[in-house]
Amino acid sequence: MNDKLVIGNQELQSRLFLGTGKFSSNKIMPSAITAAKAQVVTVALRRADQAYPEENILNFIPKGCILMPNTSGARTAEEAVRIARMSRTLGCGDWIKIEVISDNRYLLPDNQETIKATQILAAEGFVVLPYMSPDIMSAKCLVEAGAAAVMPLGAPIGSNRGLQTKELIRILIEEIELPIIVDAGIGRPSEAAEAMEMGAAAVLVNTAVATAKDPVAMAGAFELAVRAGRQAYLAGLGRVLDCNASASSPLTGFLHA
Amino acid sequence: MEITVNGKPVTIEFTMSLAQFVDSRGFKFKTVVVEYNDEIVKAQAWDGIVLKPHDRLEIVTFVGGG
Repeated sequence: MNDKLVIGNQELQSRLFLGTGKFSSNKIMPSAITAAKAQVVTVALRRADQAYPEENILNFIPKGCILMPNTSGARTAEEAVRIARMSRTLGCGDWIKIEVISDNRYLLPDNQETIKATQILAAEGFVVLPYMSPDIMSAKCLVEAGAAAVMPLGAPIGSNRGLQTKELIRILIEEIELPIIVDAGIGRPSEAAEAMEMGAAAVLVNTAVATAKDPVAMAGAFELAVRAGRQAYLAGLGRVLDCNASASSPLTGFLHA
Repeated sequence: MEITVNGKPVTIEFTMSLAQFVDSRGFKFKTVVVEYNDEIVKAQAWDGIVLKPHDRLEIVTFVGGG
């Protein structure tokens, strides 16, 4: 079946994007990414400190993956733009996940600053995937600003609480032309499947995999769930009855008749 | 002389280029990005920059993140 996701002129087979934070060891990462069949992998940019000469994370990301650096740590559009430009200088492509957060308690994104950063970076040729609070007007502004996809949160970052914002995401899927990628909050494969059944173009998962008892097995479970959910969406879910029942078996030819 | 690296003061004994400094800190060239006095400088240009007092460097790299 030809069901490719196209983002920024890139055809993707995989609809599961994987984050690389919180893994207990970098060494697990290649197997987890492979098990997830992920083609898009996120990383962050931080000050390099000689006191902690950690091994370069890029050595643990399989070749052929698209690297999507995030702008985590940015509190304003200006800071996000700076981080994006620095990331691109490392020569790993034009993809950028905009993340602008000044709310330290809930880590909810600042949509207005996110829109500003998207506008600037899209004009500079970046493939911009903004992380956002699911709000229809903001999503429309992101489309205007040149985003390549829109990434609403399901629940606060790292919370594993699932699709708390489901109804708002549903509206974005209905109304926004761009791919909607559910980012943040998804804790279980069933929640990833649900997002895909609703018509999300992809999901981005990190904490749910990285903090699982067996991250590699969990990456495989998410891979199955995302594919199942996508297939269900394409198949078209059966209708839901408000009340009553509707027999699945014929109501004639009963033996006792 | 003293320069600022990632927000912290660092004392340099000898005159050195940006390339030499990055190397002296043990970083591989392809794994870090350097902002020199708020401007991103590509690795090819590091040899041509000689550090002077009060220069500000940001040296950043990719780490795990979501």
